[in-house]
Amino acid sequence: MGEPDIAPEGKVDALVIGGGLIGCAAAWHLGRAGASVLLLEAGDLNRGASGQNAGSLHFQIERRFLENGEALAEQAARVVALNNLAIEDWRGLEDALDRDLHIHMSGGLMVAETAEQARLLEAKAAREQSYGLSTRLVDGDEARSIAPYLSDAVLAASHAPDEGHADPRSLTPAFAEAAAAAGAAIALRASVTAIEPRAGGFDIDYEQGGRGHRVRTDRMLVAAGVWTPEICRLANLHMPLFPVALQMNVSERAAPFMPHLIQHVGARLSMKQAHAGNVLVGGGWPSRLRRRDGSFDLAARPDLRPENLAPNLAVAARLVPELAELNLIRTWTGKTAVSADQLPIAGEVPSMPGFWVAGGGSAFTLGPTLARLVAEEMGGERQDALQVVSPARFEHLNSFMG
Amino acid sequence: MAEAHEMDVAIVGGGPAGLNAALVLAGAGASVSVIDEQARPGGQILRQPPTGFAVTDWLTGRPYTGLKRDLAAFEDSGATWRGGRSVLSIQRAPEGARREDSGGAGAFDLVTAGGEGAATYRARHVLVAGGCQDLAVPFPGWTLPGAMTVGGLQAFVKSQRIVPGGPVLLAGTHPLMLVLAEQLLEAGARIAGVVFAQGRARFAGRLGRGLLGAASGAGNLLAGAEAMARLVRSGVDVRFGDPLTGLLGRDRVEAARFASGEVVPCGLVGTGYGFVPQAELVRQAGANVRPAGRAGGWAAAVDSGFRTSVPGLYAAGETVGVAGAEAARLRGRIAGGVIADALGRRPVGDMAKARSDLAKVERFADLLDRIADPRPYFPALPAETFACRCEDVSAGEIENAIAAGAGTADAVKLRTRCGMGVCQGRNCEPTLLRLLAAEGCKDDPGFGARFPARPVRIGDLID
Amino acid sequence: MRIGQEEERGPRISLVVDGRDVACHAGESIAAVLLEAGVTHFRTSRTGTPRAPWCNMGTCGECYVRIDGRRRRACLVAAQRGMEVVTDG
Repeated sequence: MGEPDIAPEGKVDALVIGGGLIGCAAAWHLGRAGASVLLLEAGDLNRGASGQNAGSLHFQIERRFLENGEALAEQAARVVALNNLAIEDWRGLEDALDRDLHIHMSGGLMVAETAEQARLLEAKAAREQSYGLSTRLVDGDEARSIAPYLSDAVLAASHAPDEGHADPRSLTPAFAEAAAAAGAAIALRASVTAIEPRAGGFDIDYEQGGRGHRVRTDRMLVAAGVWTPEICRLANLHMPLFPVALQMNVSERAAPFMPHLIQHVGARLSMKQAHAGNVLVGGGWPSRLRRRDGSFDLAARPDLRPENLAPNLAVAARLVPELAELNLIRTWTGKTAVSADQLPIAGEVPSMPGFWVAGGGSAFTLGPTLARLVAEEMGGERQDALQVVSPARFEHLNSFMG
Repeated sequence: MAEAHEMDVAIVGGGPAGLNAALVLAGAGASVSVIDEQARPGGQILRQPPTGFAVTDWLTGRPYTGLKRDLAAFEDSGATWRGGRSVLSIQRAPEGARREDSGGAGAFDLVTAGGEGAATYRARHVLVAGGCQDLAVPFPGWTLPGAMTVGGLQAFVKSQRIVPGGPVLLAGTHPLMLVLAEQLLEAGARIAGVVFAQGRARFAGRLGRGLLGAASGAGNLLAGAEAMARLVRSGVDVRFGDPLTGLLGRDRVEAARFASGEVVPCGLVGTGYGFVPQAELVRQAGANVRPAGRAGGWAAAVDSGFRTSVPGLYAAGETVGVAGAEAARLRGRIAGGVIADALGRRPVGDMAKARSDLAKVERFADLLDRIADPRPYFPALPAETFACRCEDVSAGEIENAIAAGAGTADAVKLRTRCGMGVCQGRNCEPTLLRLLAAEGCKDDPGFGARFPARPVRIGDLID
Repeated sequence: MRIGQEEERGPRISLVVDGRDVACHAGESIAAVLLEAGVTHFRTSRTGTPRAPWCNMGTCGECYVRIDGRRRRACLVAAQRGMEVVTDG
């Protein structure tokens, strides 16, 4: 994948910025729909949150949406409709891409350890059911019969049969290869330096191999993760996505014993056993973004916060005592982008027709679906399912941008 | 995690550098702890037999006498020995925890794990003297039981007092093979051969020129020449100019094959292609490293006072570049003096002499390094041979990933799992960087720094 | 082969290795004890190949075995009376 194969006049039907999950998947969908596509990636493929996340496929309403009041919980519940699409997409991905992506969807349990947490689970399940997601409340004993490795600390759980995990290292490269096979050009180490809106499209300048290039496109998608706001600024747009730094722990390999995704309704915890046998333990524990020159240094790896290790691992081992005997071999830090209301942002920017954006929260679980829907919109088919995550809800910010 | 233990200086590594720094600092009245993974002090060079062993004539050779003196002095020095503990990370302590009287440097938190669980040490200054490890060189058969590094094999002989199999074959480029062969011979082992990849002229010629130029190393060189003569007299097959190409065997090593076509039956193999610094803690703490030299790997970048780029963090011994035990002793002594100064204390000992001695010893080390240069002799790596022995990632998989556009160590890791196993890339990184360089991806910074520096039982972190 | 039979080692003890009694000396590393007892297969790699101590200094992880239920590096653990060692665990 070196020099992109662009038509002599330097024009493509669709241009994608960002070689992560969403960008590569969208390039694939656009390409196989017959569009000429150029994908620009400033570094290497899959190097941001797409490759650094822990690979959870989580469809229940997350704890982070439950602890910040009714309005947010209700909004999150509306995203659940997208989750149902995502479940279908994930079930078909290995066939569609014709390769093993280590997708395991053998169910997930969100557990409660106290009566109060159990009540929170009940309210959550009711909300989910009203939006058509099937979760089932079980008591501790039934949770242990589903997942015998769980300890007596588990009082209740909600069970979602489609949850699970997939391999973040395999997925994006698979999308990229499929995209290339569908005719998309992928340019690595190609940094966008300018975006010039013009009648019916955009002129985009980028640098690759020390040389400047210009390409013209009708429609463009920015799916650059934590760099999305920076790219949007090149088009004179505000995009309220904020970088956050997380840390995740990985154990040595163990024989398969934990086929489910385990989350906690009252504590930051997400844990699963990856296909290679390593147990991954995370759940939103922060690491720390490096700062430089008065801003966050997005190029640097965030700093570990050692004080967050013990609490994260302690809750994990309290639920799954076997974990205590495994060795921790790595704690890694990574960055992801979270929107101002924590829900994903995906869709066309109303004040800039032809300009789509996608990212910002749960973008692994929802990524393949957001990419598909956005690509279909870029192909001219309005997608109602995207309304709940449309950037239109932040359009007030751009009403001041002249 | 337990409450922090506080001290003026934490020294990571109880080898020649760490012990000498501790001696200087304890002598100057500073509170010093030496933390090491091994149960007993001495480092790899002086891997001591376990408590309860009484080994007569333990390491009687000339190079060991000064080190053994250090060890005895350390026992009486007042420095605290914290053996059997792995340091998992070194980080700057939170702002509020830093003390004003630390000579301009920051305080550090060291997260450690060992027999009794996790502990955090807080120190005003930290010296990393983490030693070195054998350069991991892959070749067909290198993962078979019975194949070891010369350093690993030597530790069995020196410390455990066993020869774990035989007949023993030593192959590679490093002169340490001669020292080990003699130790094996003394131990009564059967030696199948000592085979250097480089030609005799390259080896002896450099030795001869070195003898003229490096007076202070002459003693060591003569010892090496004497060792070779003794080995030959004892009927040991010492050969030159025949690079190892692979090991044969089903479930364990049965024979070694050489470029000449010769196949030598053996049951235990030590390969020696040189040593690389252990500098991951320095990297993890955010300090600069530099390419370590001919064998590969990374060394801590330090100034003449062994200060890293992070104020208050120092590195000495092999961590700043592999130069042997005598250099490590001197570097440790000098670093100890510099830290004592920073603490406002008076170091004892003649630092000027230590510096001039160090310059001579480092010249000699460079000569050895040139003799041992493994680069022309790395065995060919067929596609099916594992480059990453933790995750069983073959050279072919890595080459495919590079061909598919993975142009950095981290990108290859993400695609292939190379470097994601228990050793966390310590062994495969030099190989991976070589494979990358061969495809035109030169000057890669290697894997990002990571936590923990050593694997740790999860239960030990939360108890 | 233990070197120099006349050397004084730690007190004679015995361990259980994969269900059989193995005599050794207190303080010897578990790696040394296993190798002296003829064990060559400490762990099995991801693709099913046998592995045994390689670096013998705690870095490579090839000597992981289960000692009294815990997975530990055999080269860093000193033998104590009555330890139970399971290879390939």
